[in-house]
Amino acid sequence: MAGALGTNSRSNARTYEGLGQYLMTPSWVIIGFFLVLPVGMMLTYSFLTKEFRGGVIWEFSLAAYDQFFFDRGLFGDEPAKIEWTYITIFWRSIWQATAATFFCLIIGFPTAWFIATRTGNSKSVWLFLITIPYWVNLLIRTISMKFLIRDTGPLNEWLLAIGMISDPLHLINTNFAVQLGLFYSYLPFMVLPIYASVERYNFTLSEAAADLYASKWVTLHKVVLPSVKPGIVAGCILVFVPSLGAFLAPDLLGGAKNFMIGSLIEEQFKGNAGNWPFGAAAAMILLSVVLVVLLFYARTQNREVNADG
Amino acid sequence: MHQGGNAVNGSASVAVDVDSVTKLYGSFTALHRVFLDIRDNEFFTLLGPSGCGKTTLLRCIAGFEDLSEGSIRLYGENIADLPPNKRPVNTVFQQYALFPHMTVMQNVMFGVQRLNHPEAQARKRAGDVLELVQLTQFADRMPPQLSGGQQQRVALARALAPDPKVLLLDEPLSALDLKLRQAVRIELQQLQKETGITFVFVTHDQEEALTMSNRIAVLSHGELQQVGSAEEIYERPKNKFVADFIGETNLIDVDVMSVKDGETVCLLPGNIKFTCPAAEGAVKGKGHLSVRPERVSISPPAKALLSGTATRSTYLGTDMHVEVTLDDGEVVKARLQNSADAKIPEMGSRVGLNFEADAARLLVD
Repeated sequence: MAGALGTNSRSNARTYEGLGQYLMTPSWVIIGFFLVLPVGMMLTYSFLTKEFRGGVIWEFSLAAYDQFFFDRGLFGDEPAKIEWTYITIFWRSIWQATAATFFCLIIGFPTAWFIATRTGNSKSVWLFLITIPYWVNLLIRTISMKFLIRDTGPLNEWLLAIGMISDPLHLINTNFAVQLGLFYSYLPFMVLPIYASVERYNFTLSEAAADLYASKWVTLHKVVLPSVKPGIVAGCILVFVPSLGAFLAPDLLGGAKNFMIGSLIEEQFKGNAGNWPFGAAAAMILLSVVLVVLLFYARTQNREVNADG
Repeated sequence: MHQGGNAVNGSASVAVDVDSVTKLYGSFTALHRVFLDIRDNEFFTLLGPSGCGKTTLLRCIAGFEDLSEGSIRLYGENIADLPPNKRPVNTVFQQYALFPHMTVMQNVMFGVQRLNHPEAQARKRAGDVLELVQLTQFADRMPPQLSGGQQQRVALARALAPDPKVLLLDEPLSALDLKLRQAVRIELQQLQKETGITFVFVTHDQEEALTMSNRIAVLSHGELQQVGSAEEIYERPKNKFVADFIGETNLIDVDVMSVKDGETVCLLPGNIKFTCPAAEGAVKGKGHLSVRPERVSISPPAKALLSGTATRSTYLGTDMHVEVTLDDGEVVKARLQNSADAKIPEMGSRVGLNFEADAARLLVD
């Protein structure tokens, strides 16, 4: 009996192993179709020559990258100077995304903590309230934000009414408005992963830390934050990456002066004025920056683990 | 083994003075006016079934719970209003609560470092304590890489490292398997003697309490039932709850005719007059005698205190367990040694039951 069982389970294991190869197929298809193909296409396009009415000519060219970094005059015959326009847009995108991540973290962490420490039903009620606005289309929400903060909008009217200001605050078409839009768009992406890790946090660890003479601050710093770090990291990535490439908030709330990389890329593929290779090149440069940041983070993580071990 | 225990009795100073502590959760009373003197250098156990308030009391001493009433003094100093991180006591948690992102060494150093000792000194102290619990070679491991028994010892080392005045242990053995639990009992006792630190140990396991403690406090429904040595608690239980919870006992219904100077005269079922010791506070009227099964002997019905019908016997190896149903339906258990001359009554036959006066004790109901 025991012997038969043993043989059985061994042959089962072999069957599963065989099946395992096929079970991987959907993953490979998804990775291939949604990751490798589109990125490969963009990479290829970025090295092609532009067609004037959109699209590409299949001819190798570095013109898109050259245009991004260098200024060779109107007819391309002057000595190359550094082209600051796009680098500035890029730089603005990075700090806007960084700031949005920072503010989402500052507000999102206490929020997530508050929700995770509620008991029973009220937890799901709070979570529901956080997610409710996100059932509405992002475009609609961004436009509503625009109405809210414009010079004659409810915010200014209210501030005027209670006498806190005597002239309307000019908020629309500023970096501040873009920041507000990004913060509003991506806050739940910070709250939810942090909530999930705080929910899993074993609060006896905080008691143990207090028992071992740690102040509240030391407990937060040495015990709580390291324990919920995976949630914080996930939240930061989930806010930073889409903020960096966002185009709705900068378009609708920022105006032309506060252009971000997402809008720049969007324009290259819209209508007849587009420049596909240039848009693809900008996207590739953006992707490289994101990858460098993530790799840098992964390396510091590894170093920390090694130092601990 | 119990000499240390006897030495601390008497004039020893009080380590933890629990003074009329009451703890309410809304309308639920977790602790009701509990008084305790836990002595210096004592292995003291809080014993009771789950929900009796023993863990709540421990958490009150550690500072995780505010008191609703009363005070707690640690070597004379009132600590009731101090937060946990200002109290010179450390806790071994039930599920250990080791910091999972720190090595064993970092875990053990944590408390020492918070007391502003230099890093080198903290490391040395942690090394010494790890040696004490025989975990030196695991210093660089992460807690999840250790077995349950090893984690338990890390938790112990971490709590001992800052050299607390009192060590609080919240059912630290409950997550271990039986063999390991028995080994760790002895280790804990050794450790308490070697370190000279007062241990306050919470458990629901009466055997654990009896074998390890200098003194035991029995709690039930948030109230203190009795405090005493293992022997006192077992041999001279104060009330029905203690007699029943610690070990096995017969509770025989009696009519108490008089109680005087710790002695009682009462009527056993079958109207035989019987004189035996009485617990302090026992009163006249209906009452219960506690008689341990191993003190009950079986004899011919004619010469016995009680008589009835043998209804069940259980073979236990070294012992035989016999149940006798009295004429009023009450069941009395006798535990007979399985020796050569042991006479096991036939089931269904009439038998008598005897016990010495000092084996019986009238309880407070």
